[in-house]
Amino acid sequence: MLDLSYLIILVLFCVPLLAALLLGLIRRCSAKWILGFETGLMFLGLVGLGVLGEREIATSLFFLGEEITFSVTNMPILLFLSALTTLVVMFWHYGKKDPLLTRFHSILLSLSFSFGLIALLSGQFMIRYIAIDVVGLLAAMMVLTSFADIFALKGFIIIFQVLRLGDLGLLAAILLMNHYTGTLEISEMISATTILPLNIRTWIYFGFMLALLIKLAIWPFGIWLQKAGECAPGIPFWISGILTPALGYYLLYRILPIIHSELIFVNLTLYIGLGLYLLVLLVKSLRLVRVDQFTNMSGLLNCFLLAALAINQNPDFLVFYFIGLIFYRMTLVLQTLSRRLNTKVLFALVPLAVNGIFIGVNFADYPFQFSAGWVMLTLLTVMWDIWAIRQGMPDDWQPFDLLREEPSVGVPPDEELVPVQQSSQLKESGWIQDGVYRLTGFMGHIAEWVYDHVEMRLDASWDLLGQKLVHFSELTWHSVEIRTIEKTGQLMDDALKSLQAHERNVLKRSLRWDLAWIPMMMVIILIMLFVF
Amino acid sequence: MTPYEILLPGITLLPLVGVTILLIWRDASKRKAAIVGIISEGCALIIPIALLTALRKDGAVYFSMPWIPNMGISLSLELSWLSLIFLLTEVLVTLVAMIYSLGEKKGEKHSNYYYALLLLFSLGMSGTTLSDDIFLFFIFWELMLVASVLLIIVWGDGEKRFGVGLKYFIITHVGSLMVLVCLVTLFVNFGTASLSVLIMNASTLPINLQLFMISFFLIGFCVKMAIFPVHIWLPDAHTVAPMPVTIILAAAMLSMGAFGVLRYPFALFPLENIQPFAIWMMIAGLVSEVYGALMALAEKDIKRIIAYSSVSQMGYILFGLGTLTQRGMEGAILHVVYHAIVKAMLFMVVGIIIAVTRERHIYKIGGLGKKFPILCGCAAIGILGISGMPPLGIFNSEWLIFAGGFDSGVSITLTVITLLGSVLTLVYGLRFFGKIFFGPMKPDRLAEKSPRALLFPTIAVTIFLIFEGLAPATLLNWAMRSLSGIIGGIR
Repeated sequence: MLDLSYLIILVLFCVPLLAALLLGLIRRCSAKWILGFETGLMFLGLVGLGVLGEREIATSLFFLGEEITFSVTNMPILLFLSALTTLVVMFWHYGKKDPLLTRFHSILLSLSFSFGLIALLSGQFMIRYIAIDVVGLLAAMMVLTSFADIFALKGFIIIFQVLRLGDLGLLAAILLMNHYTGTLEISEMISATTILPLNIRTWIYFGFMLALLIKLAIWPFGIWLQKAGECAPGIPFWISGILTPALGYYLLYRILPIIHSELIFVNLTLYIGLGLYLLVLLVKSLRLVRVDQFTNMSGLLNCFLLAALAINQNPDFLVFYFIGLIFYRMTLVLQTLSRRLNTKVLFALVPLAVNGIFIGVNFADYPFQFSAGWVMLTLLTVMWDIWAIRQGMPDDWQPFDLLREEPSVGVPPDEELVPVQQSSQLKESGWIQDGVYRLTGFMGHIAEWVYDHVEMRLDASWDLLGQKLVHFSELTWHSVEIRTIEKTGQLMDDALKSLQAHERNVLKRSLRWDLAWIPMMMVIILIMLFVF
Repeated sequence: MTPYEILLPGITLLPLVGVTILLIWRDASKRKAAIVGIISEGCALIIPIALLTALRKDGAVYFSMPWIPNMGISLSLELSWLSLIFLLTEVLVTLVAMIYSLGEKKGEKHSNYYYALLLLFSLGMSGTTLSDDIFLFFIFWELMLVASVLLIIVWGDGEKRFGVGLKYFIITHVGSLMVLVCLVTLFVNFGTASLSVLIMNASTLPINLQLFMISFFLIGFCVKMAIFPVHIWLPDAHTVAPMPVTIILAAAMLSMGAFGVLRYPFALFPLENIQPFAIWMMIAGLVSEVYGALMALAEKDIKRIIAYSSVSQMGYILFGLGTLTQRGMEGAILHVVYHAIVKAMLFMVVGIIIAVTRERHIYKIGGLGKKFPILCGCAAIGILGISGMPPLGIFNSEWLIFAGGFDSGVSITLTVITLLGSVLTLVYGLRFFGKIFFGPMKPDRLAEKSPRALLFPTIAVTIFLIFEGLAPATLLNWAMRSLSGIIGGIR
């Protein structure tokens, strides 16, 4: 009998896919209504799954010889519900004034519901990886608005390449774990990994860390997030700004046993968190690079998260911290696009609340030094955030509606996506944010150098070799060959001439019928040979 | 003789019938000649599908009749799971290329010879995959080369085609000669040309001779696979050849090298003697993967970009074979099929781009996405496919290849580098896609719409690619069976 939870998952996966298809094929469908219906359905379905309780679901489906399973637990359900709530708030906030939510974006949002759900609920790592990879692609595609918009394309390339690099790190870790554990079931895999030799676990740890730092978008791994914000602010930013980090949080939660399996990993995670925190503060305050407020603040809070996980004592409580961070990200989106300074300052107090509650609840479990450091750094972060807001945050994304009012110099008036282009053009002054694009260009230069110096030389060597061979041949046997050909040609000519002369003589003579029996006899002999 | 055994030679005879008709029918128009070719190839495609039942039952279908009895040479054909995968890939690709050629302007003159040579090219590949006799194998192997060289020389683009054809012929022929040395050695030692007999006895040869033959076989087949640095024939041949020939060259003929590796050194010699070459195959695969990707990144000619991507993709296949593990080899076999589909599709896209823009320089083309959205969609799927984006097919094969890399136990670092190196595919793929379909529209004079005769086969292949990626179970099952048929003792 079909499990009700399984049925709900199937419905929640298929309905957004069908909705995307509907939006793509039928122009008359209202995108906002369909999105609203999908969001409502996702809410109901996720609540239903939560009510039915935690369970492992084995399906009869296989992919690449591996069974597809689902692992329904409260953590991913709550994470997805929180992410969906932020989407509803964003819808409410923007109302009808978000022209960037095109039909194309609506299709991508629908698809992200399906694959986001699978990325959170899959019990098997291959399927989870596929879903995470697809969500990454959707996040990158969200910035594409027009074929004419080169800047959006640049954003797409940066986002997709960076996210893919992270996903490849994840893939390496998964395959390595699979090799040593012989399974793709996440729970079994993780628990079996904790007893693997240290060098193998180190590879796995770094694979996961690469994926996580990119997903969590802590600077300098967060350059993709900044591009996503610049190129597609508003509701389309939901996949990059909210859903992708939520997937990262859950991934981080699942690999906690690996981090805690060895003291060195705990310390490494702590130091990575602290190191990145200080680095972000340094580069931002010295204005060495351009980091927008969203990437900056969400990155700083994610550094706290890494530290919290490293010395975590109470995994179940983490879910509240995760949810707090998701909502904080939502306030950051609203804050970045808000024009009123007072509201922004109010939003800046949210990290104080989130971090305060976390340390308040866990105070007894954590070492005093950690708690003291946590409180101090939180206060520092909040003060610094308020200071940045008061300074006017020159690195913010430009709200599209403000840009729309600006005169579009040098751009044809009928161009639909002037704001996006201008926004991106305004932001081209930074150097490190375009690192990936520049790296691509750099790789292009390397490739061109190799092409000129290796490939062309290989080609030239081939030509040279051919020429040398021809030259050598001309000097040696070619002359002999030519002479032989000439000589044989002469001989052939002579022979043909004498044959011709002979034939003329023969033709002059009359036929000798008395000798006709000879060929007839030969034919008879041949027939007899063939028959017997 | 069972009906199945009678059917088997039909795979090679039907194209021959087509060739004969085309040679006799000299004033056939291009369309009529193409129809003869398509029907012959289509019928040749039906036979292996019809033989699936027998294959499931017996594991292989044989046909044999004496040819030169005094020398132990016979017309022996064998359809196994391994040959089935390569055969279907090759025949399908040829069929698609022939359908696509209807929309091309090449081959208008002497159409009958053009399609006859295309059929002979395909026959060469079918025979190569089916031969159970080394003498027959080599004849088909060379037929494949001769037919493709003639197609390039006669119907290729520009004055360079003679030089390019010659270069292609000589380099690949050197590789073939290395293979021939091994085949002659086997024949001299055992006095028979039957591959089945040789497979049973080859391991009794002296170890040094075995190692020598394995190295010669591998180098010889790597030339066909266009692995760096013996790839030098490929970019020019792919660029100069007419588009249908390029499609067959890239999507089907390159994989004959991989088939050769599986069918000869891997089937003839014990695993422990191949083991010393494993790491070198993996390194060569990695170098080829990165080098091909870098070259594709540096290239300006859109046809050459996709040509260099073949060098890169063959690197993955060699890496997978080099792992000498079940999953690695399954991945390599799957990659052959997926690469064939993606590469055929990308070359079809390139053909349409050239047809509508009359340009091949990437900087002279741009902004086509708005005017040709379907073409853009196909190209996007192709680029995502070749980058290993799930759930498109190459993800499945890459998953298995990399898993095989870890299973091999050779070096974690090597596999991790190969895995991370795959991001380069995305880099050149996105450059190709972005430059052609985004930005200001270039050139000024564009065709109003893409030719339907070219677009429809491209869409069909795109749909097939998506389907194959989502439902890899059948193919994976065949790949698993094919390996159990040729190699024992794989970890």
